[in-house]
Amino acid sequence: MESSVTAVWDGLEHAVEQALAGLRGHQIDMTRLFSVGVDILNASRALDTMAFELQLLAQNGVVQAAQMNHADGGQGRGEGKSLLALAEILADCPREIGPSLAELGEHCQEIATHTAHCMGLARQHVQHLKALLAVLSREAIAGGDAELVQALAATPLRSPAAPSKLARVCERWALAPELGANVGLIAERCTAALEGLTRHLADTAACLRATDSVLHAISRVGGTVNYLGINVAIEAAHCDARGSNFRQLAQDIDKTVASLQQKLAAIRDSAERGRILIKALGA
Amino acid sequence: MKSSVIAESGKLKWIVLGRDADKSPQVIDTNQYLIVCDGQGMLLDPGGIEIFPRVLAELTRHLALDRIRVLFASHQDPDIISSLPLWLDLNPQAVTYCSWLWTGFIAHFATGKDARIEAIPDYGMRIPLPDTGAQFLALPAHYCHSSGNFSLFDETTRTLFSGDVGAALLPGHDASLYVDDLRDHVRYMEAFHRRWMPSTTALRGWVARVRALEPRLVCPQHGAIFRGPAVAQLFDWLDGLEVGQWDEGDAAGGEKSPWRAAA
Repeated sequence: MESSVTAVWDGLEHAVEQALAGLRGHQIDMTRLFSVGVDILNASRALDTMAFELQLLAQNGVVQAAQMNHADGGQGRGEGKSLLALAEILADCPREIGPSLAELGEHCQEIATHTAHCMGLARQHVQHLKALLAVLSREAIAGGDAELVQALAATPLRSPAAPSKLARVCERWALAPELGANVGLIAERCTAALEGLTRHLADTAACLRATDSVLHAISRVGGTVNYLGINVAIEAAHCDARGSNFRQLAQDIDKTVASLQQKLAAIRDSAERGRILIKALGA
Repeated sequence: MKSSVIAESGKLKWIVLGRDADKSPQVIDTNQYLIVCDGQGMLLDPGGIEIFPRVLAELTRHLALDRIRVLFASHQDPDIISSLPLWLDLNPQAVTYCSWLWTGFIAHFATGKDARIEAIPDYGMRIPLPDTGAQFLALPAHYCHSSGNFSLFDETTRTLFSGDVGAALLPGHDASLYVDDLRDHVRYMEAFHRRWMPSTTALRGWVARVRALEPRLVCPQHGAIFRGPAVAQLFDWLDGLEVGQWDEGDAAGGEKSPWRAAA
Protein backbone atom coordinates (compact mmCIF):
# COMPACT_ATOMS: atom_id res chain seq x y z
CA MET A 1 0.00 0.00 0.00
CA GLU A 2 2.75 2.38 0.98
CA SER A 3 4.52 1.97 -2.36
CA SER A 4 1.36 2.88 -4.29
CA VAL A 5 0.98 6.00 -2.16
CA THR A 6 4.60 6.87 -2.79
CA ALA A 7 4.02 6.51 -6.53
CA VAL A 8 0.99 8.79 -6.36
CA TRP A 9 2.93 11.18 -4.19
CA ASP A 10 5.68 11.39 -6.81
CA GLY A 11 3.03 12.61 -9.23
CA LEU A 12 1.72 15.03 -6.67
CA GLU A 13 5.22 16.32 -5.97
CA HIS A 14 5.46 17.26 -9.63
CA ALA A 15 2.10 19.06 -9.44
CA VAL A 16 3.20 20.81 -6.25
CA GLU A 17 6.49 21.86 -7.83
CA GLN A 18 4.55 23.34 -10.75
CA ALA A 19 2.19 25.17 -8.41
CA LEU A 20 5.10 26.50 -6.37
CA ALA A 21 6.86 27.58 -9.56
CA GLY A 22 3.64 29.48 -10.37
CA LEU A 23 3.76 31.10 -6.94
CA ARG A 24 7.40 32.04 -7.45
CA GLY A 25 6.36 33.57 -10.78
CA HIS A 26 3.82 35.58 -8.84
CA GLN A 27 6.54 36.77 -6.50
CA ILE A 28 8.44 38.05 -9.53
CA ASP A 29 5.27 39.80 -10.75
CA MET A 30 4.94 41.45 -7.30
CA THR A 31 8.46 42.81 -7.68
CA ARG A 32 7.52 44.10 -11.13
CA LEU A 33 4.46 45.75 -9.64
CA PHE A 34 6.69 47.43 -7.06
CA SER A 35 8.85 48.73 -9.90
CA VAL A 36 5.73 50.15 -11.59
CA GLY A 37 5.29 52.38 -8.53
CA VAL A 38 8.94 53.40 -8.76
CA ASP A 39 8.60 54.18 -12.49
CA ILE A 40 5.58 56.39 -11.83
CA LEU A 41 7.39 58.13 -8.98
CA ASN A 42 10.42 58.84 -11.19
CA ALA A 43 8.20 60.17 -13.97
CA SER A 44 6.32 62.39 -11.51
CA ARG A 45 9.65 63.79 -10.28
CA ALA A 46 10.49 64.63 -13.90
CA LEU A 47 7.09 66.33 -14.18
CA ASP A 48 7.94 68.38 -11.10
CA THR A 49 11.11 69.61 -12.81
CA MET A 50 9.13 70.47 -15.95
CA ALA A 51 6.56 72.42 -13.92
CA PHE A 52 9.45 74.37 -12.41
CA GLU A 53 10.89 75.06 -15.89
CA LEU A 54 7.49 76.27 -17.10
CA GLN A 55 7.26 78.53 -14.08
CA LEU A 56 10.68 80.05 -14.85
CA LEU A 57 9.78 80.55 -18.50
CA ALA A 58 6.49 82.23 -17.60
CA GLN A 59 8.07 84.46 -14.97
CA ASN A 60 10.71 85.46 -17.47
CA GLY A 61 7.86 86.31 -19.87
CA VAL A 62 6.14 88.41 -17.18
CA VAL A 63 9.30 90.44 -16.62
CA GLN A 64 9.85 91.00 -20.35
CA ALA A 65 6.22 91.87 -20.97
CA ALA A 66 6.29 94.32 -18.05
CA GLN A 67 9.38 95.97 -19.53
CA MET A 68 7.65 96.22 -22.94
CA ASN A 69 4.55 97.63 -21.30
CA HIS A 70 6.69 100.17 -19.47
CA ALA A 71 8.39 101.13 -22.75
CA ASP A 72 4.92 101.65 -24.23
CA GLY A 73 4.43 104.38 -21.64
CA GLY A 74 3.11 102.28 -18.84
CA GLN A 75 -0.42 103.03 -19.88
CA GLY A 76 -1.34 99.42 -20.44
CA ARG A 77 -1.72 99.91 -24.17
CA GLY A 78 -0.51 97.94 -27.20
CA GLU A 79 1.17 94.49 -27.46
CA GLY A 80 2.86 94.85 -24.07
CA LYS A 81 -0.48 94.82 -22.33
CA SER A 82 -1.79 91.58 -23.86
CA LEU A 83 1.57 89.79 -23.56
CA LEU A 84 1.78 90.83 -19.90
CA ALA A 85 -1.72 89.45 -19.25
CA LEU A 86 -0.88 86.18 -21.05
CA ALA A 87 2.43 85.80 -19.22
CA GLU A 88 0.76 86.42 -15.86
CA ILE A 89 -1.85 83.72 -16.52
CA LEU A 90 0.93 81.41 -17.74
CA ALA A 91 2.93 82.01 -14.56
CA ASP A 92 -0.01 80.81 -12.48
CA CYS A 93 -0.56 77.58 -14.44
CA PRO A 94 2.46 75.50 -13.30
CA ARG A 95 1.46 76.17 -9.69
CA GLU A 96 -1.78 74.31 -10.39
CA ILE A 97 0.26 71.18 -11.21
CA GLY A 98 1.90 71.21 -7.76
CA PRO A 99 -0.98 69.67 -5.72
CA SER A 100 -1.61 67.07 -8.43
CA LEU A 101 2.06 66.06 -8.36
CA ALA A 102 1.95 65.85 -4.57
CA GLU A 103 -1.10 63.59 -4.84
CA LEU A 104 0.65 61.46 -7.45
CA GLY A 105 3.66 61.11 -5.10
CA GLU A 106 1.33 59.94 -2.31
CA HIS A 107 -0.23 57.33 -4.61
CA CYS A 108 3.25 56.11 -5.56
CA GLN A 109 4.19 55.77 -1.91
CA GLU A 110 1.01 53.81 -1.27
CA ILE A 111 1.72 51.55 -4.26
CA ALA A 112 5.25 50.94 -2.92
CA THR A 113 3.91 50.17 0.57
CA HIS A 114 1.20 47.82 -0.67
CA THR A 115 3.46 45.98 -3.09
CA ALA A 116 6.21 45.65 -0.46
CA HIS A 117 3.61 44.05 1.84
CA CYS A 118 2.56 41.81 -1.07
CA MET A 119 6.13 40.60 -1.56
CA GLY A 120 6.45 39.73 2.14
CA LEU A 121 3.06 38.00 2.21
CA ALA A 122 3.81 36.04 -0.95
CA ARG A 123 7.04 34.74 0.59
CA GLN A 124 5.23 33.91 3.82
CA HIS A 125 2.46 32.12 1.94
CA VAL A 126 4.86 30.04 -0.15
CA GLN A 127 7.00 28.99 2.84
CA HIS A 128 4.01 28.08 5.01
CA LEU A 129 2.34 26.24 2.15
CA LYS A 130 5.52 24.25 1.58
CA ALA A 131 5.53 23.31 5.28
CA LEU A 132 1.87 22.27 5.08
CA LEU A 133 2.55 20.09 2.04
CA ALA A 134 5.58 18.55 3.74
CA VAL A 135 3.45 17.56 6.74
CA LEU A 136 0.67 16.22 4.53
CA SER A 137 3.06 14.21 2.36
CA ARG A 138 4.64 12.68 5.45
CA GLU A 139 1.27 11.76 6.95
CA ALA A 140 -0.17 10.55 3.63
CA ILE A 141 2.75 8.19 3.12
CA ALA A 142 2.69 7.07 6.75
CA GLY A 143 -1.08 6.53 6.61
CA GLY A 144 -0.93 4.84 3.22
CA ASP A 145 -3.85 6.81 1.83
CA ALA A 146 -3.49 7.02 -1.96
CA GLU A 147 -6.97 8.46 -2.41
CA LEU A 148 -6.19 11.39 -0.16
CA VAL A 149 -2.93 12.06 -1.93
CA GLN A 150 -4.89 12.21 -5.19
CA ALA A 151 -7.34 14.63 -3.56
CA LEU A 152 -4.40 16.79 -2.56
CA ALA A 153 -3.05 16.68 -6.09
CA ALA A 154 -6.38 18.00 -7.36
CA THR A 155 -6.37 20.99 -4.99
CA PRO A 156 -5.46 24.25 -6.75
CA LEU A 157 -2.76 25.71 -4.51
CA ARG A 158 -3.18 29.31 -5.60
CA SER A 159 -6.76 29.51 -4.47
CA PRO A 160 -7.32 31.23 -1.09
CA ALA A 161 -9.44 28.24 -0.12
CA ALA A 162 -6.63 25.76 -0.83
CA PRO A 163 -4.91 25.73 2.58
CA SER A 164 -8.13 25.11 4.50
CA LYS A 165 -9.10 22.45 1.93
CA LEU A 166 -5.76 20.77 2.54
CA ALA A 167 -6.31 20.96 6.28
CA ARG A 168 -9.81 19.46 5.90
CA VAL A 169 -8.34 16.59 3.90
CA CYS A 170 -6.27 15.86 6.99
CA GLU A 171 -9.37 15.53 9.12
CA ARG A 172 -9.96 12.11 7.55
CA TRP A 173 -6.73 10.95 9.06
CA ALA A 174 -6.59 10.06 12.70
CA LEU A 175 -3.94 12.65 13.46
CA ALA A 176 -2.82 13.26 17.02
CA PRO A 177 -4.83 16.24 18.32
CA GLU A 178 -1.72 18.44 18.63
CA LEU A 179 -0.57 17.63 15.11
CA GLY A 180 -4.09 18.27 13.77
CA ALA A 181 -4.10 21.66 15.52
CA ASN A 182 -0.67 22.46 14.07
CA VAL A 183 -1.86 21.63 10.55
CA GLY A 184 -4.91 23.83 11.15
CA LEU A 185 -2.73 26.71 12.35
CA ILE A 186 -0.37 26.55 9.37
CA ALA A 187 -3.38 26.38 7.02
CA GLU A 188 -4.89 29.37 8.77
CA ARG A 189 -1.68 31.39 8.34
CA CYS A 190 -1.49 30.44 4.65
CA THR A 191 -5.07 31.60 4.14
CA ALA A 192 -4.45 34.80 6.10
CA ALA A 193 -1.39 35.55 3.95
CA LEU A 194 -3.39 35.03 0.75
CA GLU A 195 -6.25 37.17 2.02
CA GLY A 196 -3.79 39.92 2.98
CA LEU A 197 -2.21 39.63 -0.43
CA THR A 198 -5.57 39.98 -2.18
CA ARG A 199 -6.42 43.01 -0.03
CA HIS A 200 -3.12 44.77 -0.75
CA LEU A 201 -3.44 44.04 -4.47
CA ALA A 202 -6.94 45.54 -4.45
CA ASP A 203 -5.54 48.64 -2.70
CA THR A 204 -2.76 48.84 -5.28
CA ALA A 205 -5.36 48.66 -8.06
CA ALA A 206 -7.30 51.49 -6.38
CA CYS A 207 -4.13 53.62 -6.24
CA LEU A 208 -3.50 52.99 -9.93
CA ARG A 209 -7.09 54.04 -10.72
CA ALA A 210 -6.60 57.18 -8.63
CA THR A 211 -3.54 58.13 -10.67
CA ASP A 212 -5.83 58.38 -13.72
CA SER A 213 -7.73 61.39 -12.39
CA VAL A 214 -4.47 63.05 -11.30
CA LEU A 215 -2.98 62.52 -14.76
CA HIS A 216 -6.11 63.97 -16.30
CA ALA A 217 -5.78 67.10 -14.14
CA ILE A 218 -2.10 67.56 -15.05
CA SER A 219 -2.85 66.96 -18.71
CA ARG A 220 -5.58 69.62 -18.61
CA VAL A 221 -3.11 72.15 -17.15
CA GLY A 222 -0.61 71.14 -19.85
CA GLY A 223 -3.29 71.80 -22.47
CA THR A 224 -3.99 75.24 -21.02
CA VAL A 225 -0.27 76.09 -20.99
CA ASN A 226 -0.02 74.93 -24.56
CA TYR A 227 -2.99 77.11 -25.57
CA LEU A 228 -1.47 80.13 -23.79
CA GLY A 229 1.85 79.46 -25.49
CA ILE A 230 0.12 79.54 -28.90
CA ASN A 231 -1.48 82.87 -27.96
CA VAL A 232 1.90 84.23 -26.90
CA ALA A 233 3.26 83.20 -30.31
CA ILE A 234 0.34 84.93 -32.09
CA GLU A 235 0.79 88.11 -30.06
CA ALA A 236 4.54 88.00 -30.59
CA ALA A 237 3.97 87.77 -34.36
CA HIS A 238 2.17 91.14 -34.18
CA CYS A 239 5.16 92.73 -32.51
CA ASP A 240 8.18 94.14 -34.20
CA ALA A 241 11.69 92.98 -33.31
CA ARG A 242 10.74 93.27 -29.66
CA GLY A 243 8.58 90.16 -30.15
CA SER A 244 11.50 87.82 -30.89
CA ASN A 245 11.99 86.98 -27.19
CA PHE A 246 8.33 86.01 -26.93
CA ARG A 247 8.53 83.85 -30.04
CA GLN A 248 11.42 82.03 -28.38
CA LEU A 249 9.39 81.81 -25.17
CA ALA A 250 6.46 80.28 -27.07
CA GLN A 251 8.80 77.69 -28.65
CA ASP A 252 10.30 76.79 -25.27
CA ILE A 253 6.83 76.39 -23.76
CA ASP A 254 5.81 74.20 -26.69
CA LYS A 255 8.84 71.94 -26.17
CA THR A 256 8.33 71.66 -22.41
CA VAL A 257 4.61 70.89 -22.80
CA ALA A 258 5.46 68.20 -25.38
CA SER A 259 7.92 66.62 -22.89
CA LEU A 260 5.29 66.87 -20.19
CA GLN A 261 2.74 65.04 -22.33
CA GLN A 262 5.35 62.36 -23.09
CA LYS A 263 5.94 61.83 -19.36
CA LEU A 264 2.20 61.64 -18.76
CA ALA A 265 1.94 59.01 -21.48
CA ALA A 266 4.80 57.08 -19.83
CA ILE A 267 2.97 57.16 -16.49
CA ARG A 268 -0.24 55.96 -18.16
CA ASP A 269 1.74 53.09 -19.72
CA SER A 270 3.23 52.18 -16.33
CA ALA A 271 -0.19 52.27 -14.69
CA GLU A 272 -1.58 50.06 -17.43
CA ARG A 273 1.33 47.66 -16.94
CA GLY A 274 0.45 47.60 -13.26
CA ARG A 275 -3.20 46.83 -14.01
CA ILE A 276 -2.21 43.94 -16.29
CA LEU A 277 0.09 42.56 -13.56
CA ILE A 278 -2.65 42.80 -10.95
CA LYS A 279 -5.02 40.96 -13.28
CA ALA A 280 -2.38 38.27 -13.82
CA LEU A 281 -1.95 38.02 -10.06
CA GLY A 282 -5.60 37.19 -9.86
CA ALA A 283 -6.82 40.12 -7.74
CA MET B 1 14.49 16.41 7.63
CA LYS B 2 14.89 14.17 10.65
CA SER B 3 14.36 14.81 14.32
CA SER B 4 15.55 12.95 17.41
CA VAL B 5 15.34 13.41 21.12
CA ILE B 6 18.93 13.85 22.34
CA ALA B 7 18.43 14.57 26.05
CA GLU B 8 15.58 14.14 28.48
CA SER B 9 15.03 14.80 32.14
CA GLY B 10 11.53 14.82 33.64
CA LYS B 11 9.38 17.14 31.55
CA LEU B 12 12.40 18.61 29.77
CA LYS B 13 13.43 17.36 26.34
CA TRP B 14 16.06 18.43 23.83
CA ILE B 15 15.24 17.59 20.20
CA VAL B 16 17.55 18.05 17.23
CA LEU B 17 16.05 18.77 13.80
CA GLY B 18 18.46 18.38 10.90
CA ARG B 19 20.05 16.09 8.34
CA ASP B 20 17.79 17.53 5.66
CA ALA B 21 18.22 15.36 2.57
CA ASP B 22 15.81 17.51 0.54
CA LYS B 23 17.55 20.85 0.95
CA SER B 24 19.27 22.58 -1.95
CA PRO B 25 22.98 21.66 -2.18
CA GLN B 26 23.72 25.40 -2.16
CA VAL B 27 22.39 25.65 1.39
CA ILE B 28 24.78 24.72 4.21
CA ASP B 29 23.46 21.92 6.38
CA THR B 30 22.27 23.13 9.80
CA ASN B 31 21.04 21.64 13.05
CA GLN B 32 18.08 23.26 14.73
CA TYR B 33 17.42 22.46 18.39
CA LEU B 34 14.09 22.50 20.15
CA ILE B 35 13.80 22.47 23.92
CA VAL B 36 10.37 21.35 25.11
CA CYS B 37 9.41 21.68 28.74
CA ASP B 38 5.91 21.10 30.05
CA GLY B 39 4.40 21.71 26.62
CA GLN B 40 6.26 25.01 26.04
CA GLY B 41 9.00 25.35 23.46
CA MET B 42 12.24 27.18 22.86
CA LEU B 43 13.85 27.05 19.44
CA LEU B 44 17.62 27.51 19.18
CA ASP B 45 19.02 28.96 15.95
CA PRO B 46 15.76 28.41 13.99
CA GLY B 47 17.59 28.54 10.65
CA GLY B 48 17.21 30.29 7.32
CA ILE B 49 14.15 31.09 5.19
CA GLU B 50 15.05 28.34 2.72
CA ILE B 51 14.80 25.47 5.20
CA PHE B 52 11.92 26.93 7.22
CA PRO B 53 9.16 24.77 5.64
CA ARG B 54 10.93 21.52 6.48
CA VAL B 55 11.91 22.61 10.00
CA LEU B 56 8.32 23.65 10.63
CA ALA B 57 6.92 20.43 9.17
CA GLU B 58 9.21 18.35 11.42
CA LEU B 59 8.49 20.50 14.44
CA THR B 60 4.75 19.80 14.14
CA ARG B 61 5.49 16.31 15.51
CA HIS B 62 6.84 17.61 18.80
CA LEU B 63 5.05 20.75 19.91
CA ALA B 64 1.90 22.81 19.45
CA LEU B 65 3.09 25.66 17.24
CA ASP B 66 1.43 28.33 19.35
CA ARG B 67 3.59 27.10 22.25
CA ILE B 68 6.88 28.25 20.72
CA ARG B 69 7.57 30.84 23.38
CA VAL B 70 11.24 31.65 22.92
CA LEU B 71 13.56 31.93 19.94
CA PHE B 72 17.27 32.05 20.63
CA ALA B 73 19.77 33.30 18.06
CA SER B 74 23.41 32.53 18.88
CA HIS B 75 24.36 35.33 16.45
CA GLN B 76 23.08 37.23 13.44
CA ASP B 77 23.95 35.11 10.40
CA PRO B 78 21.24 34.25 7.82
CA ASP B 79 21.55 30.50 8.39
CA ILE B 80 20.83 31.19 12.07
CA ILE B 81 17.85 33.49 12.10
CA SER B 82 16.68 34.77 8.70
CA SER B 83 13.49 32.72 9.13
CA LEU B 84 12.55 34.88 12.13
CA PRO B 85 9.60 36.73 10.49
CA LEU B 86 8.06 33.42 9.43
CA TRP B 87 8.22 32.05 13.00
CA LEU B 88 6.82 35.29 14.36
CA ASP B 89 3.99 35.04 11.86
CA LEU B 90 3.07 31.71 13.42
CA ASN B 91 3.45 33.00 16.94
CA PRO B 92 3.71 36.79 17.25
CA GLN B 93 4.02 36.54 21.03
CA ALA B 94 7.31 34.63 20.91
CA VAL B 95 10.29 36.45 22.42
CA THR B 96 13.58 36.44 20.53
CA TYR B 97 16.86 36.61 22.46
CA CYS B 98 20.13 37.62 20.84
CA SER B 99 23.24 39.61 21.64
CA TRP B 100 22.59 43.33 22.19
CA LEU B 101 25.01 43.84 19.32
CA TRP B 102 22.57 42.39 16.81
CA THR B 103 19.05 43.36 17.93
CA GLY B 104 18.91 46.26 15.47
CA PHE B 105 20.40 44.11 12.74
CA ILE B 106 18.11 41.09 12.91
CA ALA B 107 15.13 43.47 12.91
CA HIS B 108 16.12 43.95 9.25
CA PHE B 109 14.74 40.46 8.58
CA ALA B 110 11.33 42.21 8.36
CA THR B 111 10.16 41.29 11.85
CA GLY B 112 7.61 44.11 12.06
CA LYS B 113 7.25 46.76 14.70
CA ASP B 114 5.64 44.52 17.29
CA ALA B 115 8.42 41.92 17.38
CA ARG B 116 9.77 41.32 20.89
CA ILE B 117 13.54 41.14 20.58
CA GLU B 118 15.39 40.96 23.90
CA ALA B 119 19.04 41.99 24.06
CA ILE B 120 21.44 39.68 25.87
CA PRO B 121 24.15 41.70 27.63
CA ASP B 122 27.79 40.81 26.90
CA TYR B 123 28.24 38.90 30.17
CA GLY B 124 25.19 36.70 29.45
CA MET B 125 21.93 36.04 31.27
CA ARG B 126 19.46 33.37 32.32
CA ILE B 127 16.72 32.97 29.73
CA PRO B 128 13.39 31.77 31.13
CA LEU B 129 10.99 29.50 29.30
CA PRO B 130 7.68 31.06 30.38
CA ASP B 131 5.20 29.09 32.50
CA THR B 132 7.66 26.25 33.13
CA GLY B 133 10.11 27.54 35.74
CA ALA B 134 12.92 26.34 33.44
CA GLN B 135 15.83 28.66 32.76
CA PHE B 136 18.79 28.36 30.44
CA LEU B 137 22.15 30.02 30.68
CA ALA B 138 23.23 32.26 27.80
CA LEU B 139 26.98 31.93 27.93
CA PRO B 140 29.35 34.44 26.27
CA ALA B 141 30.96 33.09 23.09
CA HIS B 142 32.05 36.39 21.59
CA TYR B 143 34.35 36.08 18.56
CA CYS B 144 33.41 32.37 18.33
CA HIS B 145 32.78 33.29 15.60
CA SER B 146 30.62 36.41 15.61
CA SER B 147 31.62 39.48 17.62
CA GLY B 148 28.36 39.16 19.58
CA ASN B 149 27.86 35.42 20.11
CA PHE B 150 26.26 33.23 22.77
CA SER B 151 26.12 29.53 23.61
CA LEU B 152 23.25 28.15 25.65
CA PHE B 153 23.61 25.75 28.58
CA ASP B 154 20.92 23.66 30.24
CA GLU B 155 21.95 22.82 33.80
CA THR B 156 19.29 20.11 34.15
CA THR B 157 20.42 17.84 31.32
CA ARG B 158 23.93 19.41 31.15
CA THR B 159 23.44 19.98 27.43
CA LEU B 160 25.41 22.76 25.76
CA PHE B 161 24.30 24.36 22.50
CA SER B 162 27.63 25.58 21.16
CA GLY B 163 26.60 27.39 17.98
CA ASP B 164 29.47 27.34 15.49
CA VAL B 165 32.03 25.96 17.98
CA GLY B 166 32.50 22.27 17.23
CA ALA B 167 30.79 22.71 13.86
CA ALA B 168 31.73 20.31 11.08
CA LEU B 169 31.04 20.27 7.37
CA LEU B 170 30.00 16.65 6.92
CA PRO B 171 30.06 14.98 3.51
CA GLY B 172 26.51 13.57 3.54
CA HIS B 173 23.12 13.58 5.21
CA ASP B 174 23.53 10.00 6.39
CA ALA B 175 26.50 10.80 8.65
CA SER B 176 26.17 9.73 12.27
CA LEU B 177 24.33 12.16 14.50
CA TYR B 178 26.93 11.71 17.25
CA VAL B 179 30.69 11.92 17.56
CA ASP B 180 31.96 9.25 19.88
CA ASP B 181 35.62 9.50 18.96
CA LEU B 182 37.09 12.77 17.81
CA ARG B 183 39.99 11.39 15.76
CA ASP B 184 37.90 10.60 12.67
CA HIS B 185 35.89 13.76 12.97
CA VAL B 186 38.65 16.40 13.13
CA ARG B 187 39.10 16.45 9.36
CA TYR B 188 35.53 17.82 8.99
CA MET B 189 36.09 20.52 11.61
CA GLU B 190 39.60 21.81 11.25
CA ALA B 191 39.36 24.04 8.17
CA PHE B 192 36.04 25.43 9.37
CA HIS B 193 37.47 26.48 12.74
CA ARG B 194 40.74 27.86 11.40
CA ARG B 195 38.88 30.14 9.01
CA TRP B 196 35.58 30.99 10.72
CA MET B 197 36.91 31.47 14.25
CA PRO B 198 38.78 34.76 14.29
CA SER B 199 40.45 34.66 17.72
CA THR B 200 42.49 31.93 19.46
CA THR B 201 42.28 33.90 22.73
CA ALA B 202 38.48 34.11 22.51
CA LEU B 203 38.19 30.41 21.67
CA ARG B 204 40.38 29.36 24.64
CA GLY B 205 38.37 31.63 26.92
CA TRP B 206 35.18 29.91 25.73
CA VAL B 207 36.70 26.45 26.33
CA ALA B 208 37.66 27.45 29.91
CA ARG B 209 34.11 28.69 30.58
CA VAL B 210 32.33 25.62 29.24
CA ARG B 211 34.76 23.11 30.79
CA ALA B 212 33.80 24.50 34.18
CA LEU B 213 30.15 23.70 33.42
CA GLU B 214 30.94 20.03 32.70
CA PRO B 215 28.50 19.46 29.84
CA ARG B 216 27.47 15.93 28.87
CA LEU B 217 26.52 16.86 25.33
CA VAL B 218 27.93 19.57 23.07
CA CYS B 219 25.54 20.42 20.25
CA PRO B 220 26.88 22.50 17.38
CA GLN B 221 24.78 24.21 14.72
CA HIS B 222 26.51 22.28 11.91
CA GLY B 223 27.69 18.68 11.96
CA ALA B 224 27.46 16.10 14.74
CA ILE B 225 26.80 16.15 18.47
CA PHE B 226 29.66 15.39 20.89
CA ARG B 227 28.97 12.97 23.71
CA GLY B 228 30.91 10.81 26.15
CA PRO B 229 34.69 11.07 25.84
CA ALA B 230 34.34 13.13 22.65
CA VAL B 231 33.31 16.15 24.76
CA ALA B 232 36.63 16.36 26.62
CA GLN B 233 38.49 15.46 23.42
CA LEU B 234 36.78 18.39 21.67
CA PHE B 235 37.81 20.83 24.40
CA ASP B 236 41.41 19.56 24.32
CA TRP B 237 41.52 19.86 20.56
CA LEU B 238 40.11 23.39 20.63
CA ASP B 239 42.63 24.37 23.31
CA GLY B 240 45.50 23.41 21.06
CA LEU B 241 44.11 25.02 17.91
CA GLU B 242 45.40 28.25 16.37
CA VAL B 243 42.52 29.95 14.60
CA GLY B 244 42.00 33.15 12.62
CA GLN B 245 44.49 31.79 10.13
CA TRP B 246 44.74 32.63 6.48
CA ASP B 247 48.01 32.29 4.72
CA GLU B 248 47.76 33.66 1.24
CA GLY B 249 50.63 31.47 0.11
CA ASP B 250 48.67 28.37 1.08
CA ALA B 251 45.45 29.50 -0.50
CA ALA B 252 44.52 27.85 -3.77
CA GLY B 253 44.94 30.40 -6.52
CA GLY B 254 46.88 32.74 -4.22
CA GLU B 255 49.40 33.34 -6.98
CA LYS B 256 46.60 34.73 -9.14
CA SER B 257 45.42 37.33 -6.61
CA PRO B 258 44.39 40.44 -8.53
CA TRP B 259 46.16 42.64 -5.98
CA ARG B 260 49.48 41.02 -6.87
CA ALA B 261 49.07 42.10 -10.47
CA ALA B 262 47.98 45.56 -9.34
CA ALA B 263 50.77 46.02 -6.76
